[in-house]
Amino acid sequence: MTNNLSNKKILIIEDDADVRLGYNVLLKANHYDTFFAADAMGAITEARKCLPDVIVLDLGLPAGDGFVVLERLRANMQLQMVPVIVVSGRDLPVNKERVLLLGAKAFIQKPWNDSELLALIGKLAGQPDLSVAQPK
Amino acid sequence: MLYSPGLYCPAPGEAAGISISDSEARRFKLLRIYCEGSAIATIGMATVVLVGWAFGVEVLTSVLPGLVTMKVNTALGLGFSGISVWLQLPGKSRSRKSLSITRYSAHVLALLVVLIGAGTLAEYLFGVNLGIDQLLFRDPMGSVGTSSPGRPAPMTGIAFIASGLALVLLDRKTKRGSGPAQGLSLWSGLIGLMAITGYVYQASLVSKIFLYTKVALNTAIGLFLVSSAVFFARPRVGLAGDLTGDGAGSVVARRFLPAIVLIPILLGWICLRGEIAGMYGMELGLGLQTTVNIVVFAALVWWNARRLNKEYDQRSQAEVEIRALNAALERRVAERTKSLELLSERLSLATAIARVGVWEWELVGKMSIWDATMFEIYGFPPVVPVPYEKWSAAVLPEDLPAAEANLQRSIAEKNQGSAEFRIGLPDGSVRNISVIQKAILDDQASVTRLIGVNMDITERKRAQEALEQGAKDQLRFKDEFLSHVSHELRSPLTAIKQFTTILLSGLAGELNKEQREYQQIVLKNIRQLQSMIDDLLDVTRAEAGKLSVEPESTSAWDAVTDSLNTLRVSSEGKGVSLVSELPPDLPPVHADQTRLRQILIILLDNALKFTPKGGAVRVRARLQKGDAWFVVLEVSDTGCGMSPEACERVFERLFQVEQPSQASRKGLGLGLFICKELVTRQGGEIWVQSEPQVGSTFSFTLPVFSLNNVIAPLLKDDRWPAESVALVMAEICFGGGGSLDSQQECRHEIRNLVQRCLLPNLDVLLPKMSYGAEGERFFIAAFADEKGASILAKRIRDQFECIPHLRRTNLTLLVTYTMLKPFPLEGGSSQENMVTTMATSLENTIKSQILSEGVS
Repeated sequence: MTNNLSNKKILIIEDDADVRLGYNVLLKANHYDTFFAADAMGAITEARKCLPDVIVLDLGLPAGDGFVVLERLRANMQLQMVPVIVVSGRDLPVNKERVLLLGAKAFIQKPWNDSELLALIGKLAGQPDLSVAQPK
Repeated sequence: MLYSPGLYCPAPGEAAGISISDSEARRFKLLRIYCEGSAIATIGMATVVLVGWAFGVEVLTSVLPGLVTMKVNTALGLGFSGISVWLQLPGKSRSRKSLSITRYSAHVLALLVVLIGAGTLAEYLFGVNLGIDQLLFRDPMGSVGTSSPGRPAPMTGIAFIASGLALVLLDRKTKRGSGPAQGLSLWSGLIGLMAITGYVYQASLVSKIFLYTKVALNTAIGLFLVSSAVFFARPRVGLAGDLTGDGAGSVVARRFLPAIVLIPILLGWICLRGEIAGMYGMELGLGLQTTVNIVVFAALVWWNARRLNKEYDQRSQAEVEIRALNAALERRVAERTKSLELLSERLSLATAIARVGVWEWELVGKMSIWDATMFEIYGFPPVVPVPYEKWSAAVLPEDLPAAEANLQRSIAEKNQGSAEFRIGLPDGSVRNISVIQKAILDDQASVTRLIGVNMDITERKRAQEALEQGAKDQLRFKDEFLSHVSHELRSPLTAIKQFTTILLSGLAGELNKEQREYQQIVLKNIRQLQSMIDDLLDVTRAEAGKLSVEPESTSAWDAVTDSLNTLRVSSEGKGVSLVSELPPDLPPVHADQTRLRQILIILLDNALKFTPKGGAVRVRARLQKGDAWFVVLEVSDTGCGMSPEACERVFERLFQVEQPSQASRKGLGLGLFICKELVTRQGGEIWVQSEPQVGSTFSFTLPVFSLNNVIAPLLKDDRWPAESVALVMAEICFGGGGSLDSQQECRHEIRNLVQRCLLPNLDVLLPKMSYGAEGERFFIAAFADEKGASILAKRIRDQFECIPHLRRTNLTLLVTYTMLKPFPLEGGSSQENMVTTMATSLENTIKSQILSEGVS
């Protein structure tokens, strides 16, 4: 699938352990280094620690939802440039607009097609976005 | 004679509208006939005398040969009097004009009579000859009982003055209400009577006062007749009225008067005859006469007393009966009053229990009467009347205008009305009041007051609000629950799908053929489950009215081709052929592209589900022209078909056709319901035709895309003449790089950006049109002049500058505008025509822009 020389780091923020394991298998198989966080609190800590290339964020999280995480990421100097893919089982029309406004790069509806997700991660990880979107 | 009692017409001077009894009417009729007869008899008599004078037939001028003759002037006077009284009898003429002419001539004649009388009398008094006596005919000298030839008797002169005046003054009344005419006529009548009596007793003294000319017999009779006719000409008034009425006095008078006139004359004559015959002396004669007079009158009095007593008895009897009737009536009134009181008590009890206050508002004094419940509702001390201002002050200020308008409406429309308002109580609490009122009309049909009821509906209102809130909460809870459940279902589904994909892709070791096949089945079912969840969410949104539809210019051809491609694999797996039979020149439709695909996939999926192997599913399309143009899309199959009952219910939520056992898995029964919602939301219709064992055809319509529909809502009346319309264009240029996906994102984002810059009701972002460069250029129709258009363009550019991440993806935005020709509202052209003109102009401008782009 992707043939990166140095492995890109992907941070998965997802509360469901099974889904996390699924991500792990899929991304490892596609030569990504995976990092995980299970809630909003841990998400920022983990992100600062690993400085990922792409963040995959679930909206429904314990201890503050995905929107909070997005805002905190945007407010963090080190992390504000990291592209975020939001993944959610929530309604598409309402939430998509909101997360894009908050600076996310894409919104994917659960359950997704693996090929679609991989293509998106590949694109975002391969082409680091230079734009800095500041929340107004 | 023309007279009839039914057409009795009161003469001037007679009080109109007096009701008369039958006996009175009969009496009046007789009197009238008498008066008329007398008048005519007098006229006839005078005529005969005149004829006698004219032809010298002396016997015609006196009743018997040898008696005094009636003189020419006397005859004229009597004749005139007769005519005058006849003319003045009531009921002669109908019209006002002829009435006054009649009266006028009657008065002239009466005055002539007075003149004759006065002239004659003057001749006697002053001993002169005025030359009026033999004006017409000569009276031979030495006529019987005549002092001067042709001159009437002095008594006749007096009588003429009296009766002439009486005729002139017939309709005059003195202050005391009696007519002077009747008194005067009595005088002339008395003279006539005296003369007659004289003839009866053959006493020349009586008929020949002052030894002048004697009153002729026919003159005396004539005078008597005329005088009585004058006397009774107005039978209701004065002395005549006393005689003609229904009262006991009148009755007695009527019984006695003829006797008093006739009996003494008759008795006196009989006694006189006896004396003259020498049967007895004068003393005895007088004694006899007196005795007989006493007897006759006593008998008359006794007879009359008896009659009166009888009548009195009858009257007392009637009175007793009337009293009894009256007592019965009073008893009934009392009973009714009691039952009304009971009813009123019940009503007030009912209104008190139901907390219904009753009020009555007098419009003139602006005061109202309230019942106890009203005071209770308003929390006022019970003091009536209540001024209007006190009520209006109690109503909450924001509710007052509507509450007052309701009352005024009832007054203006003279009918019933109702309203609801709130009142503030003295203790600060607020009550909801429902009022119903009715206008009460007086005799002139104008509204004098309103009566109505006030109901305290605070509790009801509260309960109703709670109920509504409850229902709303419940609905929201259901929606939230459904949407929550759907989301929660997605999470485990995600994990299942993830690992199935992992297994299938061999990341957990290679699968053998059988294992792979089974995993494919799992994956297929995951997809089904996924689409069911999507349907469920769509239904929830549809019910909440939140089903998002964004219509634009969409190619139906593309949508059909895409959908067929999506289902191609599964149809091939089933052995069912998918056929597209679309005409190539199908116009674009005004629809949401994604939703159109969704509709097509649901319909095609259904068709495939029910079509056996070897069958075919076809998609057709045609144009339906009418007031509005539609594209009709049809999906038909060669499946098992449906019964007519099923056809009717197929678009209902959760409806499922009873399936033969071999059929594949059922769905949720939501697909067609969603289809119907989506089609309806996009302005189309959906229906089905089906025949069992032959197949079904689902058809739906979508409006043909037209700019008219897009700009029409903007064009309110006050926008015309639309003198300046600008077409603003925002063009995105991708500077190379970036995936198709990210380009799509950019388009979306810029579309939103442009939308934000528009002024509502003045600018409209035109939907993507098939002849537009696929959304890389946005077109805005703006009601703006050149300056306004340039401001809008600048606003869009500024907004674009504010989004740095868009700017840095090598993306440029070019905003330009062009002014359209003005669209004045020409006389005779409808607004629809103007919309079409404007739409056409816009379309042409857009096409020319794209064309020029292509050339350059």
